[in-house]
Amino acid sequence: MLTKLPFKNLVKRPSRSAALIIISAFLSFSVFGGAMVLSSLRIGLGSLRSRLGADIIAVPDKAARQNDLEAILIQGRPGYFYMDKENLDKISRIEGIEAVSAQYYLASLSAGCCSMPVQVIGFDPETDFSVKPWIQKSYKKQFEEGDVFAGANINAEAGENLRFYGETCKVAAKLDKTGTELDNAVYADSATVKMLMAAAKKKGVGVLEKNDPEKLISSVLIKVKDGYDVSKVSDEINIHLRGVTAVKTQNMISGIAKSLSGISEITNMLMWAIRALALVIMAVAFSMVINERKREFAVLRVIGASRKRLAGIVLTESVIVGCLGGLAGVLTACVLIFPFGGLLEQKIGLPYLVPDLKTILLTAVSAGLVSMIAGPLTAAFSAVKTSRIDTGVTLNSN
Amino acid sequence: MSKKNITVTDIILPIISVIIALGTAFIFHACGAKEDGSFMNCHWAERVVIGLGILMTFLSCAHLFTRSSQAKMGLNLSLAAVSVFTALVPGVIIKLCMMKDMRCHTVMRPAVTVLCAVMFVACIINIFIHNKKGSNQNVDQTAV
Repeated sequence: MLTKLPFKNLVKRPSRSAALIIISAFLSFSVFGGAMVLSSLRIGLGSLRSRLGADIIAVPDKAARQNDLEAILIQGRPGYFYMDKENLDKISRIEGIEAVSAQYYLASLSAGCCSMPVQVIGFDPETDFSVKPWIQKSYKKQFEEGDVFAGANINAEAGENLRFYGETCKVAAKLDKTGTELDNAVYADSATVKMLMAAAKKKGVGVLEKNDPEKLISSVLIKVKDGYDVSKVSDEINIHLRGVTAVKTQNMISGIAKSLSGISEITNMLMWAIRALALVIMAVAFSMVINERKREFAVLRVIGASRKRLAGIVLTESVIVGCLGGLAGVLTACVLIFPFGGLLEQKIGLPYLVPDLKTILLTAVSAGLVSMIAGPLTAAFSAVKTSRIDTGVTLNSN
Repeated sequence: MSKKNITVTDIILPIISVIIALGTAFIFHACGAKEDGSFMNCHWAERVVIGLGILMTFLSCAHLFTRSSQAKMGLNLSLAAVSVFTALVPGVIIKLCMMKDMRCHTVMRPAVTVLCAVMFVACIINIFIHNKKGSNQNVDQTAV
C-alpha cells in the first residue's frame, strides 16, 4: 500500500502538486531554453565565419565607413554601394592572393508577392568560392540566364519560379541555412542581374540603371594563399587601391563575437538567477508542504511505517515532481524556442542557427535530469525532518 | 447542466478558440498591405484562420453546454479535425510570403501552429475523459 502512496498523494492534491511541478518546470525551462539560445548563437557565429569563405572582403571606402557590409550580413539591410570593376584585376595582381570573386548588390523593391525588399546579389559562377559550397539541393547543373540561387529563408524550392519586377526567375539551387542574413538573399549571375535591371527600368525603377554590372562591382571576396599573412595582404590592398577598403573577415567576426559574449554573459546571469530562485522556492515549498502534513506522517508512523519509509515517501514524491516538471519545462521551451526561432533571430539581431537534433536531445535529457535531481535534493532536508517526527507530540498538538 | 460533466479541458477549448480567432486578427496577424495598398497571400491565410477560429469558438461553446457524452465526443472529433486543418492553412494550404523572416512566417504561422497543437491535444484528452465517463455511465445503467 505504501509504495503507491507518493503517487496517490500527488493525484489527490492536484493544486499543490501542480504548483510544485510548475516551479520545477521553471528550472528545466531555464536550463534547456538558455542552453538552446546560447548554443544557437554560437553555431550562428561559426556559420557566419565559414559562410563568408573569404579571408578579406574589399568594399568601397564609403561602405566600409558606414558599416554597410555588416548591415547586409548581420542586420539584413539591403545595400547599394559600387566601385569600378577594374579594382578586381588590380586586387588579383597583389601578391599572396589565391582567389578573388566579385559580387554585385542589387536590392529588389518588391519580389513577387512581398512588400519587403530582397537583397539580390550578383556573383560570378566561374570564380565563386563562397556561394556554391552552400548549395543544399540543385535543380540543374548548368547556370543559365534567368536562373538564381535562393537563400534558405526564401520560400521557394529548387525548380520553382520567383518573380522580380515582373520578371520570372527559375531557382536553380537552394542554399543551406547559415543563420545569417545571407539566408534572405537571392544570388544571380551578371546576365540575370542585367535582365532584372532592365525589368526594373520598365517598371519605372530608374535608380538601378546607372549601375551597370558589367562596369561596376560592390565587393571583392578574397582568399589569401597559405603561408601569407592576411593582415599584410589587407594592408597592401589598402595602400595600393584608392577608394577601396579591405576588411578582414576575422575583424568583422570578432566584433560580432564581442556582442555575442555580452549577450551570453547577461543571459547566463539571468538564467543562473532563475535557477537559484527556483531551487530556493522548491526547498521552501517542500518544507512548507511537509510541515502541513506532519499529522499525516505521524499517523503513518502509528500504523507501522518506518522512519526510512517516511523519508522515502517524501523523496519519491519529489522525484515524480522533478520528472514531470522537467518534462513540462523542456516541452514549453521547445514550443517557444523552435517555432518562434525566426522571431528570436530577428530580435537578437545576431547570426542564429539551431543545433542539430542530437545536441537538442542531449540538452533536453540533461535539463530533465537537472530538474529530476533538483527535486530530491531540495526535498532532502524535509525528508530528514519527516523521519524525525515525534508521533506523540504531533498527534497531541492542535 | 450537470456541473460534474464539465472538465478543465472543456473550458480550455473555447478559450483557445477565441485566442485563435482574436489573436490572429489583432496580435499575431500576418504582414500588412503592400505600398500600393494590395495584400499579399498571407493576408488571405490570416482571414481563413480567423474564420476557422470563429467556427472553433462556436463548436467549443456547443461542446461546453452539451450534456450528452456522445454529442461531446462528436464535437471533440470535429474540433480536432478543424484544428489540424487550421494549422495547415498558413504555409501549406495557402502559401505565405517569399521571405521567411517576414511577420507571417515568424509570428503568425508559429503562433497558429502552437495554438492548434494545444487545441488538438486538449481534444484528444477530452475524448478519453468523456469516453471513460460514457462507459462508466453505461456500466451504472446496466447495474440498475
